[in-house]
Amino acid sequence: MKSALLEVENLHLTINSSSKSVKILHGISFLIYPGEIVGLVGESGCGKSLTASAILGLLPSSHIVTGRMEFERQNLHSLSHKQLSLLRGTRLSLILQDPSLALNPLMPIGKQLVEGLCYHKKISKKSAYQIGIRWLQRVGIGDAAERMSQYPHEISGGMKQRILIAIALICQPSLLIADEPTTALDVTIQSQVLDLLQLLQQEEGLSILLITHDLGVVARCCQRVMVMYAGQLVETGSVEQIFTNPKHPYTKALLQSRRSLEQSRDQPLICLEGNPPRLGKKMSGCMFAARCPSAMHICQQKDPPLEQISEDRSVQCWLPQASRESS
Amino acid sequence: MHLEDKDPWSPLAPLSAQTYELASHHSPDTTNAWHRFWHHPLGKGGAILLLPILIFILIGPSLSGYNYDALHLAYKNQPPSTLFWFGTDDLGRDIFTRIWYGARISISVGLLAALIDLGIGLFWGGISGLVGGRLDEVMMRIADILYSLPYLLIVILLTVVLGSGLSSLLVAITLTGWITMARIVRGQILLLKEMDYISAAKALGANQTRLLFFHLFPNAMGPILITLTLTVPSAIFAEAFLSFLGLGIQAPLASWGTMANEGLAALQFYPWRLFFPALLISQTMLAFHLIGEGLKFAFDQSCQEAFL
Amino acid sequence: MTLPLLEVRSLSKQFRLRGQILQAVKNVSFSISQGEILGLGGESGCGKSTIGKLLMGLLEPSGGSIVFDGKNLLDLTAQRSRAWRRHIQMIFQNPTASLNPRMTIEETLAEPFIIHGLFEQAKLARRLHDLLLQVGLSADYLKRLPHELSGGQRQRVAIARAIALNPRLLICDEPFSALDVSVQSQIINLLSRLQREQNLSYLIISHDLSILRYLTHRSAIMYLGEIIEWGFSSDVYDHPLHPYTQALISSVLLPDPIRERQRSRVVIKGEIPSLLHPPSGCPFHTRCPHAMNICRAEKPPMREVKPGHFSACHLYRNAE
Repeated sequence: MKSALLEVENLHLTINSSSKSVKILHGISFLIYPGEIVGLVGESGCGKSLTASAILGLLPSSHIVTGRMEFERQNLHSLSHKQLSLLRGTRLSLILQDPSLALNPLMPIGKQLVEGLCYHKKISKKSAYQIGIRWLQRVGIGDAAERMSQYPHEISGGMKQRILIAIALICQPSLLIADEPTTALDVTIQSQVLDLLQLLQQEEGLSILLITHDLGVVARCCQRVMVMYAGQLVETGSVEQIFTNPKHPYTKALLQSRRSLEQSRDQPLICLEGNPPRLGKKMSGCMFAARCPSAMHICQQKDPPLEQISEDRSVQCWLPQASRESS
Repeated sequence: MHLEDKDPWSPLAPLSAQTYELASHHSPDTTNAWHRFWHHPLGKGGAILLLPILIFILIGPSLSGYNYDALHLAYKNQPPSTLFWFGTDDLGRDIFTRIWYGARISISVGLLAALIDLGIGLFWGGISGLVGGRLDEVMMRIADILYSLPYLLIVILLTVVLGSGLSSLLVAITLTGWITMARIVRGQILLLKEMDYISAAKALGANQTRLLFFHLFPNAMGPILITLTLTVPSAIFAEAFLSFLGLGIQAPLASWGTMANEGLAALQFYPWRLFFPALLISQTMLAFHLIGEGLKFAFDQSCQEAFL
Repeated sequence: MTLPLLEVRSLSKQFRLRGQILQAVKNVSFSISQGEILGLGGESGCGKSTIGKLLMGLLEPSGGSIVFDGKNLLDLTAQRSRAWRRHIQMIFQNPTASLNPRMTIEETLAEPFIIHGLFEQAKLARRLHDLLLQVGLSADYLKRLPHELSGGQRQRVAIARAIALNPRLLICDEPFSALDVSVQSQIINLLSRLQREQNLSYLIISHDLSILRYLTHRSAIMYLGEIIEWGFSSDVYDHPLHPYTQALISSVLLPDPIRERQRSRVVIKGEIPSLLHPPSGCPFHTRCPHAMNICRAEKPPMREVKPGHFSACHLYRNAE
């Protein structure tokens, strides 16, 4: 039984503003083991990015985070700001969606690349530079030595994202959180970047938490996947299990609506009615009940339980219990 | 709704499409700009500072009972007392009454100048920004040239030509004052005209006038209002400054600037004569600046979601 | 053979950028018939959005003609052109940016009628009511402001505004990409239904090939300002001829892990070249896995490789 790299249990996130207190995340629990790519999939406003920020400790003080978060056996809550910031960039890394916003436009690429290395690992600038060049080559950037002195505006979007991957991995972290890393890229470039991530993951043995709204990305890269809706994890499991046999009606609907694109135009697409609930609105019972085609009365009355179907498979829904009741 | 009697495992009646939409629609955001303004300490502070001034402008002179030009030669240069709350000047005139008379002039000149600036600025910046191209270049170069002319020299020349008085004062203040407003307006329009709703309006066949008045100006209101609020104190100060130099308001009319001028000469012996005009100029300018800050805060987030 | 509703011939658009010429659209020709949905696919910088703006009159073409219902729109005076333009309307990518944040839904929807002087107060209220129903929103939304609506609802309002004047052609510039997956399907279904009900024609501009494949009758794929392949959608997406189309299709990720991981993929190297320094000959030769010497020297002409399926590629030089 290998131990988990990241353990999150009962993560709740509340935002306190001057007028009100809003609960965003409700009891998120999951594990990430070494050497695996786990997908966190959900639509906009479901809280997936906030989950990442909460783990990384990047939220302002008005955002209250409760619950157990342990990374490499260290309790993330008990770490001071300094210790957390040491952790980020060395053991725990992040890449974001828009590469053009993540690079300092006034600093050459090389400097940004080795900045973290010099600061955290106390390596001389010269050797850091050499390591930097090798990393640029590893992420598939030609003329690496010349690129080191270029500025971000001289570089294309896809290349920027590769550089960001290099920056994230140069200190050799054990976990990389990638928040919509390919959403802002063209389709052909997306393909290249995803291939790169998978390759590096295998070479370095790191784990990746891949946050995305794109089921195709999950199907391509991930071993396990977690589905998020309105601040809750509604279903988790291996990619094969979830894609071939989704248990939660939301997961089913997402898959069906995307897959129904393959049928002919005469047949309308299968789709979910209504809109995702606004973040922070908590209704009694299941958050998905209003849109769920299989909703029952109990779904409106009480919060659905977490059903552990097998070791790696869970779903938060009343349906499994309902089918047990009827049999 | 008593759900306890219904079988909890029975299917929930599908909500009608209408209820779907309303069940999850975003509740109307009551936190609009007005609300937000009053919740901000700076904006509120500015309004609180300004309020007594406005009140006294109205009731001040009648409170004291004196006329602004009434001479009390027996009481020349008296310090503040129960008879003369702010003291008297070298002709025995009640400073309290004169301050509020001066306030009327100073503030109305300030507001009027700001409105004139607004009018010219909207016109100049609006057309320049919307039409763009050559016209924009020409209009902006004219503005640049005007802006770089030595202000004080122009004002002195104007006073020579037009004579001193209220109208020449207004011309002097607004001559270059509109340029800042025009630049702000133009900047906003350049930003906004790339928005899709402008393209959509054009696609529907809207003409330039409609675009300006229905789409561009309303959405540029935030920065325009803020600039307007900040133009008022600079106009008030310009008037004070010019009157201080003797180029604006003439005796026996009082404005804060003229009173400050007279007060400066007597500073060593009768300091209250400078103190009160200076205090009120500062307070009014501070008040408008704070209101401007409050407006900035109020408009900055009026388009964002409630808690993001 | 009836005349096509829209016929675009040799359309081109150049921009001046710091003294250099940027050829955003180069010699593009296509046609759309009444009731037909044409898809325009490609990645960023290929010129598809520019074509949308050219057709809408938001940009002036540098060359070519746009013939709508037999009339060359570029020949008309500004006044008459405006009258014709109401037959071509547009839906934009960002539903938030396409609605005036300070106007209520009612004001936004009333605008087309007011501009064209087509309203009588009493009838207008009824018409707006019906418009909203047509796009699946209740009349309660009339008094609301855009920020009170969700992304999908805003897009519905934008669609309602676009169809208010009963246009013949609707240009949809990436109408789905800013929407959530579950909402995308709703909007696709809505557009599909409206098209059938009113026999509308659509030009759907999108980088999402799965959606284009589902929704369109015919499609054209663009690269660096030129159309490199076009034909019936079933042909273009299922049996792509041009190596770029093949690469594009192969980059589309399927929501099916088994199929996705087992398929053979066309991998193309490199990045999209800059529009300021386009490659010589065939624009794709710098990245093409099948590039030959002739590809660098000569631009391939558009050929009908199979009936109704056209491609500009030297691989098919013996086709005709």
